[in-house]
Amino acid sequence: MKLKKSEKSPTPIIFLAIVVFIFLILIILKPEVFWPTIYNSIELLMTILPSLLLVFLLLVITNYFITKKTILKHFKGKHGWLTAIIFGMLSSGPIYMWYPLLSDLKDKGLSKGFIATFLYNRSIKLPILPLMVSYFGIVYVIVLTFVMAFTSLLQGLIINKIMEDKNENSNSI
Amino acid sequence: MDKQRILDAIFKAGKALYMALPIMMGVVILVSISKLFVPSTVYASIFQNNFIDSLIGSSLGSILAGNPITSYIIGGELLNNGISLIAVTAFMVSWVTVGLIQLPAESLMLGKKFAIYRNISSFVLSIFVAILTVFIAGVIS
Repeated sequence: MKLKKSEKSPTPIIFLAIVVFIFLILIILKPEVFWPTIYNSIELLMTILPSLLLVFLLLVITNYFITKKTILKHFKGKHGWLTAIIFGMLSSGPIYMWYPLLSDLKDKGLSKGFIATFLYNRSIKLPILPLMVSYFGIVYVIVLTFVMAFTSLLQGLIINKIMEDKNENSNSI
Repeated sequence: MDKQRILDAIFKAGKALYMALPIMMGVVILVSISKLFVPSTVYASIFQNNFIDSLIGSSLGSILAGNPITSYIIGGELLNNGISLIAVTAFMVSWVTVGLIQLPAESLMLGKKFAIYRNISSFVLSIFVAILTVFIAGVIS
């Protein structure tokens, strides 16, 4: 599996190294920025930390109950749109991890709209919503979640319409 | 309950957060530095009109990528600097729905046309989501 290699991507470490390097240069040029930056960083981390603990717990729960097998089983059922929305929200891991499964489902005739809806709902990460609530409030987060779920359905229908039209056009040529 | 499955779930969750940690730390330091050097008046001069704001927010979110947690931190700080909620929402939504970096992989696995149409529609819809969310949340609040 080629894609698995990207899980070990050095990009996050490189990114952190670049930021630390920039910070070091700043300290050399302007030593007085050291303590304010450290203070701001600690303050920001303290805001995030409690939510991250909850995020971890919720991630464990979803990882335990939601597997690729569960998703595959329900996609084949009657309620495709609902499956795409719910499992899109509950699925975890990097997006590219799901491409092989979705590609396989597509080859087996799964509507592209379902795939688009599934992918859109992957952006609603229920386990990490507590962090969002700490920044934006519960009302905003609930409204955003519902609007995005509705929009995912809209996108699925749009993709189905466009891709069907394109297929018809290409078939007629 | 299956003990091995629980351990696997804990390991997977730990790995997901561990992978996100360097980026999060980097963003935290960058945000802290920017607080010292970029006055909030600069943000206010860039973001002035709701529709243009959402367009700028969506464009930024589409180019940048990473864990959604990172977008919440940046979004939260932008909001604290007086950026409109519409722009911040558009930024966070396009951050997670538009994947320019993943586009080659998505094209390869799910088809080029599908990947392009999905990303373009995600970009446009992020503006729609931002405006609708802020409107509804405003009415409820």
